[in-house]
Amino acid sequence: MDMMSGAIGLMAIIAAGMGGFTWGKRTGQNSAKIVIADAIAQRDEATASLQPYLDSLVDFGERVPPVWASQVETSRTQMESSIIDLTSRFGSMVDKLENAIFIAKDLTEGDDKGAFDRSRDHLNQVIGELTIAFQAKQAILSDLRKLVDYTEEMHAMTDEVATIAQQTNLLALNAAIEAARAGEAGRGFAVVADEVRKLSTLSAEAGHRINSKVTEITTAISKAFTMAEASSANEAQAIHGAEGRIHTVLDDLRVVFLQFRHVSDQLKMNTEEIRGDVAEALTHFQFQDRVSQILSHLRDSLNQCSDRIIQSQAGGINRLSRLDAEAFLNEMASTYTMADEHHAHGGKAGKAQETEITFF
Amino acid sequence: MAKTILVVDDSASVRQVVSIALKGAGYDVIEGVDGKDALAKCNGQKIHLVISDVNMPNMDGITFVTELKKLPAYKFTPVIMLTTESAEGKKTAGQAAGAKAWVVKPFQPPQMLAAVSKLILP
Repeated sequence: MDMMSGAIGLMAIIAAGMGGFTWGKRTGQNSAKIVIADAIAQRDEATASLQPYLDSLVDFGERVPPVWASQVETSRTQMESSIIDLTSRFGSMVDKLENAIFIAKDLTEGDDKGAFDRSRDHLNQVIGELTIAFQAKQAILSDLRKLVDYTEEMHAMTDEVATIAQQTNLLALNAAIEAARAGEAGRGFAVVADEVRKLSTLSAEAGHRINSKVTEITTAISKAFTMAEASSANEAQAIHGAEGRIHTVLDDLRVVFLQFRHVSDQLKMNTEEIRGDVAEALTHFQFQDRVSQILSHLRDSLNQCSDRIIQSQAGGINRLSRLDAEAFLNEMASTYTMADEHHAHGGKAGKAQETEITFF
Repeated sequence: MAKTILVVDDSASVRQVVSIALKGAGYDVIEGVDGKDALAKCNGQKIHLVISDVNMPNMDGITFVTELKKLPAYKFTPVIMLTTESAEGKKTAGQAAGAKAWVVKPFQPPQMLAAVSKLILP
């Protein structure tokens, strides 16, 4: 440190000059030597006392700023790690919310006709098919009714057969009487009349049996018709009842479905709002990148500060370098990337920024 | 089919924020942690737009854009620089490298999406 030794030397010369003046007036050359020796001794004493301070300054520079830098770096990395974790979790939340919105949309707006409308169509189709089957059965019943009418006609026909047989029998009896009255000449005719009478008897018996069977058939058909008609009435009532119950159930389901859709729409709307809020909150995590850069610059600057203190004494006590604060600050400023850093460097608070976009 | 955007930033939180904004607008996103990683991720696939930071380790954003533009597949791919840098010198370097826009962080998603919509390839 030339400046320090020069100052001490200048003090010695001044002291010597003052001493020379005194010597000229009082004691002479020996006294001047003593004064010079005293000045040199004072300089050596000052130098000796300065050395511990310089040593402590180097020790300070070597140990303290690196600890500051380490603390800054620890804070920076911890903040970065936490923010990354937070953004990841928020990002996951946004994804899940988007998925929930998609599912809700699919449930309520899957296609032009929702599940409820499709179910109603299917059930109406079932009722239609049952009605068609019922109508077919009604047609069969109608044919059965005609069959009953035919059996009544057959009864009338058997009555006619009985009447014919009776008339034939009377005719045969008269023929036999007339044959007997004719004597020998009518004997052959009497045989014919007897045969005709026998045939009329057989016809009457056949007519009676036919009538009996027709009665049995009519009874059976009438019984079957009565049962089928009763069954048909029950089925008609069942179909009508089922149709009514299906419409009631569908109406109830429709109310529940509309309530569900209303709640689902509300949930979807709320979910979209939350998704927007979370995404908006995420944008504020950009501060981490900015703060991380500021802390990185501060960390580097602290390490450089340590180096500068050590370098200032690299030439020893007689060649100490000046610590140039202005140059150091300018060097710091040259590393800044953000307007906030320049503002803070000049002692001003940073201000909130709008998105700044430049198109080339 | 969704358009693909390559997002390059060494800050995971910034990548996350940008990706969420872009995905919310219907874009597909590929992420790169620095210029070198981003060049490897390109791999010849169709990329409709690139959003890149400037100050990154391994390969900075300006060098990345310069190298990207040398590749025939990405010669006309628009690039938006997204950075905390606002110095005119850096902006000029970005423009010279081939960037189409310079966005200073922090950004608001609507403004960023408007810039993306304006520049993205059809």
